[in-house]
Amino acid sequence: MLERIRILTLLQLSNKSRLYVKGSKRIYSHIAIRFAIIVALTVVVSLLLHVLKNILYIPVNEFLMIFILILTQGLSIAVSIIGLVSDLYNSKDNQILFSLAAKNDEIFISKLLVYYVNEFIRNLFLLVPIFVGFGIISNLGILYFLSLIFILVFLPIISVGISAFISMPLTSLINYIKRHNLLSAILTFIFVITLFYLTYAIVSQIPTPIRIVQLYNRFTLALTLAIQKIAQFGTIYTIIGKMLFGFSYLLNLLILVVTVVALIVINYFVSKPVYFKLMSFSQENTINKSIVKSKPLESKNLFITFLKKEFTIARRSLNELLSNYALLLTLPFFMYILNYIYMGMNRSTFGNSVVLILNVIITLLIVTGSNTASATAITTEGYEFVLLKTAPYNTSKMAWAKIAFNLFFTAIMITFSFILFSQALPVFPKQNIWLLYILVLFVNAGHIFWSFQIDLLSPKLSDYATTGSISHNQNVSKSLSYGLWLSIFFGVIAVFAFVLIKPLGWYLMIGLALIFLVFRLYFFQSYLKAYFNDIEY
Amino acid sequence: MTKKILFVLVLVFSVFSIILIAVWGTLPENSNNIQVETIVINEYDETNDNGDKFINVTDIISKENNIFTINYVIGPENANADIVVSTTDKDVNLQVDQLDNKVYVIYSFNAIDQMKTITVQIKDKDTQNFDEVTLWFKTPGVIIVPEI
Repeated sequence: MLERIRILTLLQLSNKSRLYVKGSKRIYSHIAIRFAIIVALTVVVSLLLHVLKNILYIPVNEFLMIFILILTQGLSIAVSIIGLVSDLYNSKDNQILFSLAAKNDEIFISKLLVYYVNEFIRNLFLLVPIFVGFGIISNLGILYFLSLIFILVFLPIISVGISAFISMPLTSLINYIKRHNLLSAILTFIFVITLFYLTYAIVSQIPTPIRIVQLYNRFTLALTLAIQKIAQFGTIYTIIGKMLFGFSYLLNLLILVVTVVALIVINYFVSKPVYFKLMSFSQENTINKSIVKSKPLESKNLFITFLKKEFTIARRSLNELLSNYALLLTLPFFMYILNYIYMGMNRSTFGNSVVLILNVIITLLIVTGSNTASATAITTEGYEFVLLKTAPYNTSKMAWAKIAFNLFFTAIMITFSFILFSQALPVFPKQNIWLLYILVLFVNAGHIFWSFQIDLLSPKLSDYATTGSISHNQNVSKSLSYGLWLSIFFGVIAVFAFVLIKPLGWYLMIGLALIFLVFRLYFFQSYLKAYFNDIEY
Repeated sequence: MTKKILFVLVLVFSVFSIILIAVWGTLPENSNNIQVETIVINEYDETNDNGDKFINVTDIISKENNIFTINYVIGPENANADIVVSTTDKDVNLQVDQLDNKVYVIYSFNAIDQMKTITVQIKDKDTQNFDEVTLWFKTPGVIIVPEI
C-alpha cells in the first residue's frame, strides 16, 4: 500500500513540479537559489517589522505573530479547499489514476500528499522569513527556532487535513447546485444583497463629518486592537502560537499532536466510503438530464430565436455569465462606499464638482470593463460559427441578438446599482444620480457596439475552438483599453462641464454621450453589413 | 489589459479620489483655541502617600486578554487637545483613541510573564498638562510604600 501511494504521489508531483535526474548537480544550485531567496525575504521581513514597530507604532509582539499565523493558514485553507475540490473530484487525471491498480483511498491519500508538499514549500517562503525575522529582532532562544522547524512539518498537515475534510460536503453541495441553476442564481442574488447590507452596516459606522487623518488613526487603532483580540480565537493556531513562544509548552504540544492525528484518522475513515462516489458524481457525463415534457415554442422571427438562444446559454452556464459581469456586480459597492466617504467630508463647492467628476470616471471604468462578453461574442461561437453560416437565413441577426442580451443584462445591473445608490445615500442630490445614470447607459451602449465591432473585425474562432479559453484574448484586452480611454475622456470633459460651464454641464456630458452612441451604432451597422459574411474560421 | 488590472486600477483610483477630495475639495476646519486645563484619570484602585494612582491588573491581564483600557477626562470638554502617551516599559504598546478619550495598554507575552509594573503618562502636547497611572500585578499582602 505504502509503495503504491509513493508511486502515485511521485507520478502527480512530476506533472506539477520540476524534477531533476538522479545525481544531477543542478539540484544543488536550485536549493542554493531558494535558500538565498528565503534569507533575503527574512531580511526584508525584519525591516518591515521594524517599520511596523517604530514608525507605525503597531505592537510587534507574540499576539501579532499568532494573528499572522491565523491569517496565513486561514488563507492557505481557503486556497486549498478551492484547489482540492478541483483536484480531488474534478481533475482530468482522475480518469487515468482510477484506471491504475490502486485503491480509491490510496489515490485520495496520494493527492493529499501532493498538496502537503506544495503547502510545505509555500510555508517555507512565507512563514519562515516572518517567524525567523521576528525571532531575530526579539532575541528569542534556541527552543523557539527548534519549535519552528517542528511546526513547519505539522502546519501543512492541519491546513490540508481541514481543507480535505471541508471539501467533501462542499463538493456534494456544489454538485447539487450545479444541477439546479435557479438555486445557483437565487444564492448568488442573496449573497450579493447580504454583502451589500453588510457593507452598508459597516460603512454607516464611520462617524461624520469625516476627517481623513482622524479616520486613518481610528482605522489603525481598530486594526491593532482587532489583531490582538483575533489572536485569542485562532483555536489550534492560537495553541501553536503559544507553544512556539514557550507558554505551557508540553500541554500545547500534546494538543497539537492529538489534533494532527485526529485529522488524519477522520479524513481517512470519512473519505473511504464517500470519495469515489463524490468523484464519479462530479464528472460532467454523470449529470442526469431532465426529461423534456413539452416541445418548446417555435418562433418565426429569427432575431427572437437567437435572443432566446442567448438566454438559454446564460441560464445553462451561469458561472460564465457571472464571470463576464462580476466587475459590474461591484458597482453598487464602489458607488456606495466612495460616495458615503465623499458626502461625509465637509466639502467646498469645488469639492462637490470633483465628486461628480470622480463619479463619472469610476462608474464608467467599472461599466465599460464589463462588456467583454460582446468583445468575444463571435469568438465564443468557435467551430459552430461555420455551421451557423451555412444556414439559409440572414444570420447577422445573431449579432443583434447578442448585443440585445448584453444591453439588457448590463442595463438591469446598472439600474439596480443606481436604485440601491439612491436609496442608501439620500444625501447625494437625486437629480445628479439620475443624470449620471442616463450618461452611463448611453456610454455603456456605445461601448458595447464598439466592443462587438472589435470582435467582428478580428474574431479568434480557431483559437477558441482549439483552446476553449478566452483568457489571453486580444479583443478582450482592446475592449477594456477602449473602456479605460473612454472613462478618461469623459472625465476630462466632466472637468470642463462641472467646473467651468456648470449650468450646462450635464447637457454637454449627456449630449456627447448620445453623439458617441449614435456614432458607434452607425459604424457598427456599417461594419456588420460589410464584414459579417466574410468572417472565416 | 485584463479585468484584474482594471479592478486594481479602480481600487487605486478610488483611494486617490478620496485623498483628492480631502486635500482640495474640503472646507477649512473650524478649530477652536480653547486650551486643555486638566487631564484626569478617574478610575483607579488606590493611591500612595504621594498621590500616585495605582490600578491592580492581576485579574484583568492574562495571556488570554492582553489589553487594558484607561479612560481619561479632559477639561474643559470642548478643549482642543493633542494627546501623547508614554510608558516606562518597551514591552507594552500604547494606543490612543482621542475621540473616545481612551488609552489602550497592550501587553506582550514577556510583560505578562514577568508581571511588569508600568507607569502610563497621558499628556497634552500643547499645554504639557498630564496625569499618570501605574498598572501593576499586585500580590496579596503587599503595601505601597511611599518614596522617601
